[in-house]
Amino acid sequence: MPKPTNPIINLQNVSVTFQSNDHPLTAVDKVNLQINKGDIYGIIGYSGAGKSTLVRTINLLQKPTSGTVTVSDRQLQQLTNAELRTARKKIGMIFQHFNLLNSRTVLNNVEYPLLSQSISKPARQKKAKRLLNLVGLSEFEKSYPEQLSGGQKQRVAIARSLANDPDILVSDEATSALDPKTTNDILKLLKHLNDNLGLTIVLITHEMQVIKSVCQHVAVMDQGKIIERGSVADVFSNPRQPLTQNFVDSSANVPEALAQIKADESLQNLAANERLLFLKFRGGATRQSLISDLTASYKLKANILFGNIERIGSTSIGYLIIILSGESKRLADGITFLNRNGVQVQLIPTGKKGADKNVEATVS
Amino acid sequence: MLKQLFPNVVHIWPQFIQSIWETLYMTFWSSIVAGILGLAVGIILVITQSGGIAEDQYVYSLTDKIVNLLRSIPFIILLAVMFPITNFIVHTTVGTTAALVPLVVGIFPFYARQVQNALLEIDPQVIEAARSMGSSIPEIIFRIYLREGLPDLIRASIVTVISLIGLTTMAGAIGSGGLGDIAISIGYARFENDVTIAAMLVILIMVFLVQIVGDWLARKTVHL
Repeated sequence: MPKPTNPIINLQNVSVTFQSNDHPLTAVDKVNLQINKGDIYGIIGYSGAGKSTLVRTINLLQKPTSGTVTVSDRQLQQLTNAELRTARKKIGMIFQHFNLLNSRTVLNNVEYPLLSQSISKPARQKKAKRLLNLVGLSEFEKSYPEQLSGGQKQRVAIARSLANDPDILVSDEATSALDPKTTNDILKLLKHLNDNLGLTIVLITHEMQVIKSVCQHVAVMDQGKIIERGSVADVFSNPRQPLTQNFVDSSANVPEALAQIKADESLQNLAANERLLFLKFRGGATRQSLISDLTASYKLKANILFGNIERIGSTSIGYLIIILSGESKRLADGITFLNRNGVQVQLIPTGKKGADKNVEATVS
Repeated sequence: MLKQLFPNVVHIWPQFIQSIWETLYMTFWSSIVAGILGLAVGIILVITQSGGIAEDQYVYSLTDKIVNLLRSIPFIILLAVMFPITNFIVHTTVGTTAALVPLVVGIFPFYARQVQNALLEIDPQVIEAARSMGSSIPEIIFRIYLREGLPDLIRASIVTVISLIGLTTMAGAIGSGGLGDIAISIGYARFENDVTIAAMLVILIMVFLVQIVGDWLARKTVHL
């Protein structure tokens, strides 16, 4: 095992309590969070979960009520104001509403973070132009933010956040105000920056799709606490918390499909040798030809009613709703075979009673 | 023509021209001084208020109370009350220069409030973005507040200068000179209505000019 390096972001026991009308509100509740260099770390939760407050402690825009914030091996709360400002320059931040300076041109916006540096004007402009080129907005340098679309504004904001060559980029719902296609483009850009600049990205969102498309790790937040965390594939393919399950389900359209199938009259009276099954499989299982094995080795027929494969990071999660038909002994064996290969099998109850005991026993 | 419409104005022509200059003098200098003072106080109010970039409830509430107090004093009374202080600052209590002190004291709290309101229009998230980029308090004041708020600050300044022109005429009551002074001491006292009307017309022209120039400047600073 390689020697573990210190995480670039290390939040220890961080709590943030707001004093509102004499009853305190705990927005972040004793959170421990370690993020490694080069990671794209997603924090997902519904609004009010405290994720925005949590990420604001990373650059001390929000001072924690208790706990320590360590970024790049420096404990931020121990820094002087001037040192903290220097530290903040290495933590870029982008926002849902872009927060550009409307009185300045696109180029001047990107130059802004460099104004306080000892850098000549030509050098500053050269750098700003290079960053605009990186985000694909070279031709807009003389425009004003109000003349740009949402996606373009976010690109300017990204270029601006990179002006001080940060190690970390914090994205606070940066795609939430954008349409799906633009969201995708922005996420691709973030991924590109992660790959090419080694930028560590902390991304908060309420959209599962965002986490799935770029994040390596994810933390699920609810009521100020991280309730579940790990690699994106682990967390979402095997959710332990109902809230996490909630995010996955709605993302994979599974609940809709199940509801439709259950409502389908023609499926209510299956023959004695037919079973309506919901299969869920992940990782390696998606690469095996399980269905054709079922057919070939167990002489079962599988009629696929619904299928969906979700790619989460480098892992795939497959969902199938099938009618499996065959001899009852073979049905039981087939289901055991599926279980053994890491497929979760759920029997969907149909109208007909008296299902085979063997089959009932094998499915969980 | 001018002689028929404004016989008495023509009669006191050099004095009338002199009054215009006095009004401009008072307006200009009190705008400059009250402008700087009001801007500073307005900025203090914005940055020290709760949630501001240099939050300080004591400084805020003290400044806020002083501004409210000064704004509550009717200007005509302020003119009289300010006598000793004026004497101390400019060593005279009569004339145009003496009027500058009460004019500044009378107008700067008004301007401070206008500045405060203008700066509060700036999206707090933009300020937060600047903080996230490591901007210091002076950088945020000069590069964000004063720059992003410029169109609103210009509009606030127009309103203030126009009010100030009004106040300079009131300062005529303590012998400050200017158009207000001759409108009262000559036009009103001697029943020479044409002098009063001429003074009013010149004041109106000044107000329109300030409004036109100000609107043009404000439009130039908005980038849509």
